[in-house]
Amino acid sequence: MILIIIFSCMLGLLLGFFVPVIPYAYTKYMAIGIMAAFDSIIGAISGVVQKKFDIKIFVSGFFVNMFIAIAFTILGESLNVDIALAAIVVFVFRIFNNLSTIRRQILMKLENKKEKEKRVIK
Amino acid sequence: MKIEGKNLIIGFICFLIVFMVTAQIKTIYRSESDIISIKNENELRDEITQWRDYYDAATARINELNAKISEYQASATKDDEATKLIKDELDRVKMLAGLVAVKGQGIIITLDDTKALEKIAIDAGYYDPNVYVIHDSDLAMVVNELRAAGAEAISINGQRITGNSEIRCIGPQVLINGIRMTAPFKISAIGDSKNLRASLTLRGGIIDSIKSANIDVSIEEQEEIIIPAYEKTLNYQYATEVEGGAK
Repeated sequence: MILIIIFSCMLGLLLGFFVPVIPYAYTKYMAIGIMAAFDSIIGAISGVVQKKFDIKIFVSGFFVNMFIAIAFTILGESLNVDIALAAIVVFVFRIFNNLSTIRRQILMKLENKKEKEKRVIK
Repeated sequence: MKIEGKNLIIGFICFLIVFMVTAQIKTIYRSESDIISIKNENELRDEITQWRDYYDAATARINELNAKISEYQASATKDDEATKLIKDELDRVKMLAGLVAVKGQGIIITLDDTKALEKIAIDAGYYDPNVYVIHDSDLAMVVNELRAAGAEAISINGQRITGNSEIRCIGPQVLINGIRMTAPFKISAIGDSKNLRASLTLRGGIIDSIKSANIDVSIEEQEEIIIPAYEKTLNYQYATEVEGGAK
């Protein structure tokens, strides 16, 4: 599994380097898509840590969030409202939330381990 | 197999996000290096305001210059009219001064020495050429008479008679406009041909007196006579204009 992840990351890096430059006007939508993807991945990791990870939710969230974020950005563009900004705020907010959840879970696990050790000692 | 599918999906997602991030970073990097200096919006806004000011100033200047151009055009057309008037006046004056060739109805008077009478006189033995040849005074009298009858342009043997023309005896020849000439003399005059002829052929008039001086005279009326322009240049060396006119 780790091998697959590393391999696909390398492939992505390579292809990303050799793909022609995307028009500058579209980088805004791309950025929103990337933020949505990051949010989904962090959410997935937090799900894994909390032991309630579901691949279906992850995959659907990954793609649907990405497309909706891009669609909203385009809509905002045509309405002259910076929906992209709101979307980024929401994504970053959620990313931080999930990161704190992950941190707390990991800390709790560590404390649980220590308590178990203590109990064993006692 | 379920694990395999899951791994594939995760791998694909990893690939996708890395790919997107790489492409994005590359694009941003390239674009910035292309644009050289990315100006922020406020700077651009300031620039727009500045350029708008320039634009307004330029528009104002254009309007100003256009107004000036139309002004100049108006005065130019005025000048044109003035120039035309001056040109017309100049043409008229030139014609009056005899500096242009003119044409019109008129008469041609031919004066010639009488060969027959001359021969008789020689035979008779008292030949005096002065009696038989045409004198400058004869020509001057004819010209004078033509002027009195209202001739507008006169020439003798193709020499235009103007206010400055001389008709002078230089021995056997006559000097007109500095040109020597001899008989026959062809005097052309533009004017009312009937009038001219009548005033010349008055009983006891100029033609009678010339004829009595043994000179052959013939007069013919013509519908169109062409009289050439005065060829010498008129140049006053001593006379200057009196401001406001003499009283």
